[in-house]
Amino acid sequence: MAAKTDKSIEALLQHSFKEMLQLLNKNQAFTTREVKGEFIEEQEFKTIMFTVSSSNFRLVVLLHFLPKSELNAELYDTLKLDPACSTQYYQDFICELGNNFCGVICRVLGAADFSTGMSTPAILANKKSIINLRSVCIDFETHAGGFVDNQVPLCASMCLFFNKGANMELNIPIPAASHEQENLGELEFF
Amino acid sequence: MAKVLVVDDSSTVRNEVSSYLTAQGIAVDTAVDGVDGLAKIQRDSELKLVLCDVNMPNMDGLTMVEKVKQSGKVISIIMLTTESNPNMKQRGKDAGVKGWIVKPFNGDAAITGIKKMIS
Repeated sequence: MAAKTDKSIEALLQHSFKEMLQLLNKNQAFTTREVKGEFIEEQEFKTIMFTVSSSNFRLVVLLHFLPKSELNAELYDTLKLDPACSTQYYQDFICELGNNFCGVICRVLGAADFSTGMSTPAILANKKSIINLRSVCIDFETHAGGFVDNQVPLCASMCLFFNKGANMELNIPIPAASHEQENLGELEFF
Repeated sequence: MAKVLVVDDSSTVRNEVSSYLTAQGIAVDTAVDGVDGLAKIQRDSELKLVLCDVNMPNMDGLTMVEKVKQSGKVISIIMLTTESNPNMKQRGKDAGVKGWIVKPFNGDAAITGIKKMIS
């Protein structure tokens, strides 16, 4: 697989993860960087899975998050959450964050002329989600961590699967970070 | 009083949008998916506008809109979704959707249009 494809997927994950974090209360508290899959497996994360599909490839997008019991006051504040919220509400909040994450991915792919569809979120019961995905032959995987001081409340993984016979080369232009948020939330009349 | 129906499988979105609209003096009801939304649209004559997600379990938002059209019910519908795929927008237009908002919901950016639709 072309190095250009690896770079494209890495850049797509980093961009969309950062854009997702922009939605949070104190997004400036986050620093993001590439991490290894093994780093994510070592954390006490729960995971939500989404699929973004096109005619050539599928992206399995995993959003890893700390269980509610692991959050402290600083993280509640950073995530814009009431500490008294229920576990169900917290998971729903993370699912919606993931929806917005995949929305960014779809918009970037759409701008590069890939027609995509995305799934509804699925909370995975098994903690070893990445290991399980590897067993079905991922063509490429990349991971990002969202750090608040020394804590890691959120991480993300992107696993690329090419469809059989597809051209295994992707070149995805990534927009400037500030451009993405410009028209969100506005009502477009038909 | 004009009422808005918010159809979204995410309780976070239902709460956020409902709170904003209620603070604007607009009555709000909610539905958890397309099946629930379709039932409420058919039976509530006070509804003037529907804000509806696209990707939902049981019945997605665009299918719900198409079923509303097939039923002959006339009501304004705005899609509120992370999707911005032109093909999806076209499917919405064909089904009679009046507008499209790409999430996250920004009440201040959308409220003028929403009020116009329910006035």
